[in-house]
Amino acid sequence: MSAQTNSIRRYAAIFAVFWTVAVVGSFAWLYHQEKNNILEITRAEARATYEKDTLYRRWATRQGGVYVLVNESSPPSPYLSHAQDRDITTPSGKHLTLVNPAYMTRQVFELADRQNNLVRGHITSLKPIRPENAPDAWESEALRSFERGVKEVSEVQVINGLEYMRLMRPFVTEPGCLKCHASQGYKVGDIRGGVSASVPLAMHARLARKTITGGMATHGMLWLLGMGMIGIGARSLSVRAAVLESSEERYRTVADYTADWEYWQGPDLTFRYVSPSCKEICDYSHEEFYADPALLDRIVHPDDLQAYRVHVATGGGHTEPIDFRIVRRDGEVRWVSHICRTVYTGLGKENGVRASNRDITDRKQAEAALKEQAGLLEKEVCERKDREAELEAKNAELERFTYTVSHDLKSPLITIKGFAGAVLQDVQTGNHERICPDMGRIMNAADKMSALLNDLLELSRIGRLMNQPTLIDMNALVREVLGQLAGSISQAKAEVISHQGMPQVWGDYPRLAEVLQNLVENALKYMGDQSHPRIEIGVNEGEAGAVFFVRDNGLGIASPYQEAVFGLFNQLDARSEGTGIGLALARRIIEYHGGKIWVESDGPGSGSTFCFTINLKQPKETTAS
Amino acid sequence: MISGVPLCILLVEDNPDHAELAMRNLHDGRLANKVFHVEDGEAALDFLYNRGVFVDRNQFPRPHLVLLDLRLPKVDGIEVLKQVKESDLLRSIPVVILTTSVAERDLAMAYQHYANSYLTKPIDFDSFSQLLRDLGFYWLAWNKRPW
Repeated sequence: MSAQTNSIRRYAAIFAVFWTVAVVGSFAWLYHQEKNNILEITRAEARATYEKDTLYRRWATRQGGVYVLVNESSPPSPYLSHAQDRDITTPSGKHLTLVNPAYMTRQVFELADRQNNLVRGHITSLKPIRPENAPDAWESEALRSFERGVKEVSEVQVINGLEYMRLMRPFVTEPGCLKCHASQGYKVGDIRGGVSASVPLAMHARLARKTITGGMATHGMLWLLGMGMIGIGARSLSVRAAVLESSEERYRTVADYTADWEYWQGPDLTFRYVSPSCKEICDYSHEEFYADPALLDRIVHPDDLQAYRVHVATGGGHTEPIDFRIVRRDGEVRWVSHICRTVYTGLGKENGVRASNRDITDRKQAEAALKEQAGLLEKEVCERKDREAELEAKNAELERFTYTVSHDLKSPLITIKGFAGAVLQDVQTGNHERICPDMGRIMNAADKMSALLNDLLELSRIGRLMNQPTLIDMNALVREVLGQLAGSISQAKAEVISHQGMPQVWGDYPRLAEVLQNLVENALKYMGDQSHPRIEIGVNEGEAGAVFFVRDNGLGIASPYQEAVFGLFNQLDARSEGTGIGLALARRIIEYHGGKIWVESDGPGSGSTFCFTINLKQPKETTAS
Repeated sequence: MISGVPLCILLVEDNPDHAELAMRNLHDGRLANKVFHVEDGEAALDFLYNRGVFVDRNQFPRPHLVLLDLRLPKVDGIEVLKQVKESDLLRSIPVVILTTSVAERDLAMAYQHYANSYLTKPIDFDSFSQLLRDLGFYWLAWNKRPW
C-alpha cells in the first residue's frame, strides 16, 4: 500500500465524516423546523380558538346573555340566582332560563371535551364564581403572570398522556361582565381571569412525522449518494495513483538499479536524471550533479578532456563509444566507456542527451597487462630467435671446426703412415738413402700434429677459461707486447711506431696481449723482402668507437683471401711456420670482447692493416679500481 | 699404349709430404712421363692456362690428368675444379679429387662441379700406394684420351 493511496483514503474518510455531519445537520435542522412549525400551527389554532371563543362570549355578553329552553343539559344556573328574570316562561308556556356568557362558554367547552381531537377551551379565574372553573397549576401560573402584564402564555403540556399546545390569554373586564361579576369588585379593564385553549399536537404530529420521515429518507439517500461518490472517487483516484506509482516504480527500478552511470542532460546542460550508481564510479552523488552541471567536465582527466569535449561538441547520435579517464573525489583515476545519443520529445523536438558511462578500469588494466605480456612475449620470441640464430651460427662453426680438424689432423697421419711405409720398404730393399729424410718428415708430421692439438686446446679455452675483465690502458699493453717482442723486432730490423693517447678498455689483459702479439708477429713474419720494415700501431675513431690497428708495409693480402686468413689452420703460404691458428685465435678473442677483427690491404706488396674493435662493458660486480 | 706423346700429370697438393708420397708412387708405377706439382689453386690455374711462371707451353704442357686436393691455400680445390669445368678449353681434362676429406658436403660439391672421380687418401701406406698405381693405370693406360 503506497503512501499516496493512504493519503487518498484518509481524505476520503474526512470527506465522508463531513458529509455525514452535513447531512445529519441538515436533517436536524429540518426536524427542528418541523417541530417549530407544529408548535406555531397549534399555537395559531389555539389563538384562533381563543379569538372565536372570545367573539362568542363577547356577543353573548353584549346581548346580556341568552335564554334557552330548560332541559337536562341546560338547567337554570344556580350561580345566576341573584339575576333578575333568570327564569321566564314564554306565552306559549315554554320555560326559559338565562344563560350568561360564562354558562354558554362552559357548555360549549364541555361539548368540545367530548371529542378528543377538538380544541379544548377552559375559562378560569383565580377567583371563580363556580368552583369547577378553578385553574389548574399551569393556568394559575399563567394567570399570575398576566397580573404582571404578560399578554399571552403558551406552552406544550402533557394532559392525560397526550401532548397539547396550551395557550392562555387574559380576560379583561368589560361593562357586560359587571352584570354578574360586579359583586366580586371588578371594574372595567381589570384582569378578571383567562381563557385557555389546548390544541392536541397528535394530529399535527402525524403530519410532521410524515414530513420528517420523508426528510429522513431524502437525507438518507442523499447521504448514501454522497458516500458512494466519495467512495467511487477515492477508489478511482487510488487506482490512478496505483497505476502512476507502478509506472514510476518501473521507471525507477529500471533507471536506479543499474551498475552503469546513466544520465540525461537537458538542452540547457543541466542534469534531468543521474542514476545513483554514479556514486560507485566517480564517488560523487547524483545530487551533486543535479546541483552542479559543470561537475562532469571537471572530473574528466585533463589528458582526456580535449577528446571528451570534441565528442560532446560533435553532438549526439554517436554510436561509437569513447573511452576516457575520470578522477574520482579520492583522486583515484578510473577508465569509463561513454556512449550517448540525442533524445527527442514526443513532438520530435531535441531534448538533450542520454548517456551511459561504464566503468572499464578492469578491462583497461587487463588490456594493459595483456599488452605488457604480449610485449614480453615478443621480446622473448626475439631473444629466442637471436639465440637460435646464435646457436645456428655456433653449429655451423662447430661443423666447420669438425671438418677442419678432421682434415688437418688426418693430414699428418697420412704423412706419418705413408713415410713409415716407405721407410719400411727401403729398409727391406736395403735402400738406406731416403730413410733419414723420410724419418725427418715423420717427426715433423708428429710435431705438427702435436702443435695442432695444442692449438685446438688453446682455442677451446677461449670464452671458457678467461680472466676477469679489468680496465686496460692500451698504451701500457702495447708497450709490454713490444717489450716481449723486442728481440724479434730488432732481428727483423723493423721500425715500430706506436701512437700515444690510446683509450682505456675493459677486457681480458693477457688475451688482448696475445692478440696484439700475434698481429705484430704476423707483420714481422710476412714482411717479405721489404728493405725498410715498418710497423705502426695506433687507433682511429670509427663509427662504433675506437678502432685499433696494426699496419705493416709487408707482403699484403689480396682481397679474395682477406677473410680466409682468419679461418682455422688456414695459411696463405703452406710453407710458413705455425699451424695457421693465430688469426683464428685472435678472432675468437676479439669476438669474446664483443668486437670485430678484419684486415685491410690493397693487395700483394702494398702492406696490410689489421683492425679490431673492443666493445666489452664494465662488469657489474667489478669497480673501476 | 705407347702413343709417343709424353704423358703428364698435374698434382695440386699443398702438403709437401703428401705430394712427395704421391709422386713417389706415381713414379714407381712408371706410367707418367712427368708429374708436375703445384702447391696452391692459383698456381694450378696458372699452370693450366700457361700464365705467369708457367707461360712456356713446351715446358708446361696440357696435363692428361689433374690430381686435385680440396683444401688449398689462396684458391681452394672446388674453385679450381669449377674454373676448369667452366672453361671450354680445359673441360675435357679429367680431374680426380684426391683429398683427406670424407665430408659428404665436399663429395657432393665435387660431383656438382663435374669432378671425374673422388678419392680419399688412405691412411694405410699400402693402400695409398695401391690407389695411386691403380689410379695412374686406369686413367693413363685403360682410359681412352681425346688427345
